[in-house]
Amino acid sequence: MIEDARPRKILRTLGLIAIVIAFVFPVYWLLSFSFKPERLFFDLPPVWTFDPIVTEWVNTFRTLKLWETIINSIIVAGGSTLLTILVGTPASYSLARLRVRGKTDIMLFIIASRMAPAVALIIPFFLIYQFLDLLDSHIGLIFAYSTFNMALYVWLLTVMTRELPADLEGVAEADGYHPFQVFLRIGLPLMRPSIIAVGVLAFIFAWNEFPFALLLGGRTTETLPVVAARSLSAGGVEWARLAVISTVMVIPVAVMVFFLHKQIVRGLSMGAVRG
Amino acid sequence: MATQGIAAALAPRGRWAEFLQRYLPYLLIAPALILLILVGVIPFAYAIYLSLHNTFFTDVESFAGIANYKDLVSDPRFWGALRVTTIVTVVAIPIQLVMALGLALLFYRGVFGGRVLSPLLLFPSVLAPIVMAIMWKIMLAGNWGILSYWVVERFSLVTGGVFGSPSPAIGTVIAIDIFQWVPFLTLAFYAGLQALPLAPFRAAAVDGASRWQVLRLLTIPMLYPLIAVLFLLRFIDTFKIFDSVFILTRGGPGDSTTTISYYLFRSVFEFWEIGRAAAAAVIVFVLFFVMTSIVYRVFHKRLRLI
Repeated sequence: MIEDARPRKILRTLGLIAIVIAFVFPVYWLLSFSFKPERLFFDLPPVWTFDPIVTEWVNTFRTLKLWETIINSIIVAGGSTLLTILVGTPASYSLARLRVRGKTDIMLFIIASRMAPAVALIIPFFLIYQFLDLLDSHIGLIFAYSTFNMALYVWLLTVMTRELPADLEGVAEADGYHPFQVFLRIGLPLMRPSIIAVGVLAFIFAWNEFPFALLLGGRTTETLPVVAARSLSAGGVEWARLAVISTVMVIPVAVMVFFLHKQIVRGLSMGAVRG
Repeated sequence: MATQGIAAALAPRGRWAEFLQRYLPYLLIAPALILLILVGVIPFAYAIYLSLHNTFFTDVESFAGIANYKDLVSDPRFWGALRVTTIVTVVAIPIQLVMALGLALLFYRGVFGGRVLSPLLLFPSVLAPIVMAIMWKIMLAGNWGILSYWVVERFSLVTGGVFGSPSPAIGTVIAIDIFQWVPFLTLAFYAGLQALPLAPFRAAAVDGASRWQVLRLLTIPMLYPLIAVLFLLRFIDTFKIFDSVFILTRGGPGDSTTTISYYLFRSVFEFWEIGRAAAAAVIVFVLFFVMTSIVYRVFHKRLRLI
């Protein structure tokens, strides 16, 4: 709005850098703990420099069979994302492009379904899953994750699709294409970038999810957050192990943020911001 | 023309095509709605059913009427949990919104390398709340955590660690929520500022408006829809705060950080009072919808959501 003198701009940039460092430093500190020799953890004052070791990484992967946990996390988060995309994409297209009676009510129902606290939902879920024998199953978790991901996905994709130009679809319709073909052959390709962006966000939410995984999962479906939480109960906290597991959880999120940060900002604000 | 041939070959024909043409919008939505009903409406209805019954572990026994609700209303721990949740929400959200808006305004006035720094700034907000809590746990641990050593002990802020007494424990839970969300909110406000039209600001500059006037009378009112959306989203998430409490305090010391989600968790998975927990869940659902629709009504026209 107002052009400003250069020195001030430099000052502000320094301020920004300081803030970024403040927010990112804890992640660095966490990372450093996964490479730090355990005997240095408790030194006073806290130690900054040391020769990094990978002992704890090797140990954690070996004793906790962390690969199995990672695979569980990928199955559950990936499966949830896939289910969400398959079921949510047609709905979003329809809500954004076609004439649907009660559209506002449907949209409100969708966003309302994202509001309930997970733990409140878990009570009925637990009993229903016990009855259906879905406790400690990947498919059970994948379904349960729809409680937050479906609403997020349909909502965002609808908002984003509405902003895409509809000219092509109009032309195709005028040429006598069946609406279903218009959806498959023109709508879908047009929506693809948005589908990827919102899908990534759904993946991150599923990857990070804790209460459902803790309470509806079990030994065979343990995801990374659950294993992390378990490393700090009973018999003292295993700090290095915690740091390793947390770092593993951070990696895919970091990669996705790097490539898609604008879409993620947009997604986290449910489409209210253009990012 | 080739594509048209393919399209024609794929085209639905006859009655089926007519049916499809007519109901396509609803057919496309149906799977999503069915899924949402399966994972949202049915569990909610089942929670109501459970709340009206006596339960023994996971067995549903006789009809109990509103006994569970009566028990709940007379349970001071339930009210305590509501109180803690309200404190966290009421303190954390305004602070993070104001901080983020301040930072966004600062950056909006111009910085070098904003592009490089914004993904870094987003990063903390998309970390798993579990990871965020673990980071803080390491930094605040014992007397050797970097924050406990350099900040808490140095300035003798609290004795016995931040998780040793109620107020510092709640304060830390709040601080972590703020820390996690300020970066994203800053970016959201920053993007919102960039999307504002310039003309009103030029006019204000011509009229010789002070910075404060511009902020109060122009910038903030124009950002209102965005503020409303972000407030609503943060409200929804903060109210169900669970992960950081689970990792950091386990609801303690005493019940001082037992939020409503943690209360629900304990009533089911520690005390196995499913009927009563279901009653609490129902009350929370209702409370939630009422509060959200109040927030929604207040901002009604200003929400850019629909």
